[in-house]
Amino acid sequence: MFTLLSEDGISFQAERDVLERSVLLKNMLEDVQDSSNSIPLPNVASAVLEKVLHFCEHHRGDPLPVPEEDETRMRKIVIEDWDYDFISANCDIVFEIIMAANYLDIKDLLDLGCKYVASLIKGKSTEQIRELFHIVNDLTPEEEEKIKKENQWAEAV
Amino acid sequence: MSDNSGLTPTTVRDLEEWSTPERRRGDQPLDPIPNEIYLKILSDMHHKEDLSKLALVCRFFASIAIPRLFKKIFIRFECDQLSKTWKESHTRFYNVLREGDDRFAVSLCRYIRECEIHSTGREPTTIVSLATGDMKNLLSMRNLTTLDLRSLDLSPALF
Repeated sequence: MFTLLSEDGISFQAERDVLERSVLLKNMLEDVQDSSNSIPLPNVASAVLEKVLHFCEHHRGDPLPVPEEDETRMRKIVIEDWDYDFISANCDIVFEIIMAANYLDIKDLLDLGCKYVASLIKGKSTEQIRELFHIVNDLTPEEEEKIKKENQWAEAV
Repeated sequence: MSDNSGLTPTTVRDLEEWSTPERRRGDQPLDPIPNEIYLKILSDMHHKEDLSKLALVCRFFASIAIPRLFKKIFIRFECDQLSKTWKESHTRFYNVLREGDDRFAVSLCRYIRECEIHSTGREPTTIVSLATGDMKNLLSMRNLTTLDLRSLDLSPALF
């Protein structure tokens, strides 16, 4: 058993094969036997870590996805029912889960989160997309005008 | 360029001058999402309707979506069944590029990376006009990397 310590000081216990879903933790634990020292995760809040561990527990024993040449592209994955239910039940913290998966290097969770967000974008208006990501619009009115003109040309390509 | 503090609200900045999107919920600032995560999420976006809405979210999204909207253009030729001749069946955008008088539209050429030239007919055919005008137009697409020729008979005269 190993103990993880979240950003807000909450301890979580998990077994090695659960933690090894995370490439970061897998590398950290390589030379370590069961340890009483807890592993601090200063970037992950307890509410997020709990969900991440839940995901890793469900997938313990699954083969790890192989790294891709271009990690900025999304893998062609089919979202399984359990995964879909998991991510949609946690949609209010989906970006926190994605960022934790990115930090901990849990590829299947990162892909699941990104794929889910991509599915949320489709069909949404610009304002709704901004709200989804909580992004502040940094375009000047003139820049918006220019982009609208470019969008019009894009229809005629 | 980004340290130009004299930026006025009327400035139209270059698409390359993006910065990582600022995030806020109400007055509360949120952690920035790493750029590679935005790229991963948006790598799955191909539909024009989605891309043109994404382009207006913020400058970073515009820098991803706009080049993708103009990534591929088509040059089409159709067989006229009655006269048995080939006629051009180009998009409005390509026609404007050929005429070259709309400087704004021509400036969008730099985003074109793929060009597909194809004919719609029963047999592959030599299209004479391709040899004259279109090759010159292709050269004006300075970031073109892929040329896809379909159902075309390439006569030696082309090269």
